[in-house]
Amino acid sequence: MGNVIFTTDDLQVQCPECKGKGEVNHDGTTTSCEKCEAKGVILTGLGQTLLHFVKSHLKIET
Amino acid sequence: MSNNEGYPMQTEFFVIKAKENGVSVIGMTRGESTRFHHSEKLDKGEVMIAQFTEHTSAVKIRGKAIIQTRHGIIDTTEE
Ligand SMILES: [Zn+2]
Repeated sequence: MGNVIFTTDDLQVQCPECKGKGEVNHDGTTTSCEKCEAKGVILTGLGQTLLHFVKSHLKIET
Repeated sequence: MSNNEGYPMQTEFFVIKAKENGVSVIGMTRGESTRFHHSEKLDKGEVMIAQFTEHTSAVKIRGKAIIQTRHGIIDTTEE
């Protein structure tokens, strides 16, 4: 591991449904991707842990 | 959520061993809509042991991996 603690890839994975675009195309109609709720990525456990930690300490409203 | 009440230790689990870097394991929500709510990235040789829970009713695995369930062993590289 060396000094690299983690990378973006450790925090999130590209949505396989929309390939990261956040929207899907069915028969010419584009809709927002329901699988990832239009985020284009899915958080990993580490990503969720970090997000939760930051949120709880910054007191961000969700 | 209490793991001890609804999902005791004997709940079904499965094992995933990555055969390459960047294998992704994506948990899908239980309920009417199946969203992807959780992902994990496994590097070569890494093993994940997971359960189906009240939140996760399906799992999608991408990449070269060996998956062991009580129904047997699946190698994703096999045609
Ligand atoms: Zn998506």
